[in-house]
Amino acid sequence: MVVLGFIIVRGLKPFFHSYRETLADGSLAEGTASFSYFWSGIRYNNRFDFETHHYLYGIGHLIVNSLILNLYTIILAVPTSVLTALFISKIAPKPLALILKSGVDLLSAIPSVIFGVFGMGVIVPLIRAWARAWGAKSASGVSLLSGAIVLTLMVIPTVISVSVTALDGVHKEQMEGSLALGASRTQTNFKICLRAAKSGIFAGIILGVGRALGEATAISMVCGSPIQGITWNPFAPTVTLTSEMLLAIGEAVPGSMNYDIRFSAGMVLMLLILMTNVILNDVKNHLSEVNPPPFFIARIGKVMKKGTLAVISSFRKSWQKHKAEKEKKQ
Amino acid sequence: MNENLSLFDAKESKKIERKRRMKDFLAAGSTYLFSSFSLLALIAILVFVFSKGWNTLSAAFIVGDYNATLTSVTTNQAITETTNTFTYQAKDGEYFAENWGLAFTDSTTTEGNPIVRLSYVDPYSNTTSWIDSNTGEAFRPKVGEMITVVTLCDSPAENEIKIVSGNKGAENMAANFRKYNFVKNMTANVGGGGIRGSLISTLWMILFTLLFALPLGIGGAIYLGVYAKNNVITRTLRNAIDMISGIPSIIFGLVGGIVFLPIAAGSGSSGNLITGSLTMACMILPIIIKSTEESIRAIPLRQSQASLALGASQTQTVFKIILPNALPGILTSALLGVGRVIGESAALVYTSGTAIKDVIIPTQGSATLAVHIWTLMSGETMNYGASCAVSILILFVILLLSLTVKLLSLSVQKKQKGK
Repeated sequence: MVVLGFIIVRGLKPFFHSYRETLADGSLAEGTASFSYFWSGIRYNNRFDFETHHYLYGIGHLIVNSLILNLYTIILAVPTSVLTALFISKIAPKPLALILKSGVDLLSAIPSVIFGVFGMGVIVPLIRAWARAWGAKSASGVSLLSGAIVLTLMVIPTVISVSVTALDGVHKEQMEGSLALGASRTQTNFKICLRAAKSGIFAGIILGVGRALGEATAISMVCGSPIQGITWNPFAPTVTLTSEMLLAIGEAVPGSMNYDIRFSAGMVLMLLILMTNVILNDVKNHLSEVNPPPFFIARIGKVMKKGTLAVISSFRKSWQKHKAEKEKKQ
Repeated sequence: MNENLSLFDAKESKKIERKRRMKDFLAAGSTYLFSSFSLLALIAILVFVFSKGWNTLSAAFIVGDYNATLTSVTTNQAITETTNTFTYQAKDGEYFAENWGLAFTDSTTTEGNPIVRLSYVDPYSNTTSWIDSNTGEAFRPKVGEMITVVTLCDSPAENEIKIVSGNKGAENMAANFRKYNFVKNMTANVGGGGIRGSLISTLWMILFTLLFALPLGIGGAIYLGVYAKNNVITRTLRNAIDMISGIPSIIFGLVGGIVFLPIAAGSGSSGNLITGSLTMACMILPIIIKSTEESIRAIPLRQSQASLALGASQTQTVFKIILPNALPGILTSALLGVGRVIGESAALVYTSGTAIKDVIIPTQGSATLAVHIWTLMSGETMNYGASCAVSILILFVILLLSLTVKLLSLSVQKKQKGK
């Protein structure tokens, strides 16, 4: 909590503290960061606005790009990891499952820099060749897709291990019942086990998404660094919140606008992760439970409604009291 | 009529059966396909890293300095005799200067720029008169040294000089050396590209991190495992610990930059090893607390009760009975933490700087091995050889650590079963 407070204080600093800096063209700038442009702008380091005395740093495109990258990652990672978990837990013979499981463990132990190096050395050239074969434009292979693939590699160990635990916990009676009704082994696996382990698998996906959203090093290596813009094109380079935060950090002077605005981006990243987790948790609850609790937003709405009602009623009460006292006096 | 119907049913059911078989086959096949994918990815990573990095990995690479030392070389006399007593065997890609007894080859610097390296120095080469112009001592060229620029002419008195740059290729360099008999001035790059500094700073980082994290973590685990009652505060604490392990590392970097930098390094600094290790300590605290607490809980209750019954105080029991028995868990957590420290990059970029250094002082920022890779890869030209070689080292250590952790937990399980 203290940490969160620190981040918020530091993250808000660029919007209130005035920074004095010499720009690239030699002119002197002094002012704060523009709050509205920060959310809506689609160019990270735009310029200094001399009329309003605001630094224009926009991260709107970074947020959207982060979400798009995660969407691609989920599309790639969820089928892969769920099917692999099913294979390990139910289908594979024991020695093969053991090999796969230790392989997945090893994969999760590899640090993200090495994933980045691997992505640069193997996946990026592959994407480049693929893009050439399709006639699509690509910036030498550094692209949204390569980022999504690298992220997938990093996320699947988490999802797989949680899903395997969930699948192992499926009751044997349930499976035997399905088999006794004449369903085949595969039908049982897909229709009974997966459904029974749904909430566990979803928990794994939530963990994986959290990891994917926060991943920085590998992404900053394989996704490129375009200056601006939102992209849906898998072959186009993209820039996310985390990669922008790491970009050219070596040249940023501590205490300058360029350095401090990264903390604001970090604050937004934390908010993003929190919100994604909350939303996914809601979805999970809705999928897995018979009587799911209401959505988080609805819960917040309820609490707010209750709160406002309570405040209003207390006001009304005190007003009535006041009135009654007045009447008594009269 | 009845017969007909049953016949029809049999046909239909066979059809349905076949269809179901087909579907089952496809579904089961897809699981095989996708699960082979993750294994393939792992193998691909290992193959890539080893194939690219194995050649770069050497003892000189590990203990060498990152920054090359520049040496300026000059001579006072030209070659007097060109006796061909050199025992040189021609190789592909090498260019030999017969008058000097030196061979050159094309190479790249650690930054990836083209440069000429000495690939062969004959024992009788005409370099006896070469001296280091800074120290005045004799300079004996060695294989592997990079030649940045050299000024050649015919004799010491000659005014007509030829300046040959090291980035024009080895063939050009050898041709010019063959033509001229006197080296007026030469700038040679000795060594460079080694990782000794990053290795040492990684070791420092591990040491400091464990120093900060272990007492805190073990203390927290003892509190949670032994003293804490199950109330709201404890539950909140547990939730907070769970939450910390889910926070991405770049956020830790930011927090470290905000909280620890002003305390330990002063504002305006981009961090040092101590701020980096404080940040890392925060990151591995949840691991240590959880693993230690688990092993504390695994200790049979009768053991600590026996200690208490013998008249030992609660504190004595904790330190003399519970902690020694929880040692495997503590060790496991420490090893996991070490693995985390070795592989971490995003948090350390913010808190301990990205500069690769040769002389490591804990109060100054320097890159660890993972940040070393990041710095190598985020430059203009990427150096796959060196970064893959560092990756091999990191992977090796991490695999070793995870293997040790597995063995440790196995032995603990066996012990518990034995009881």
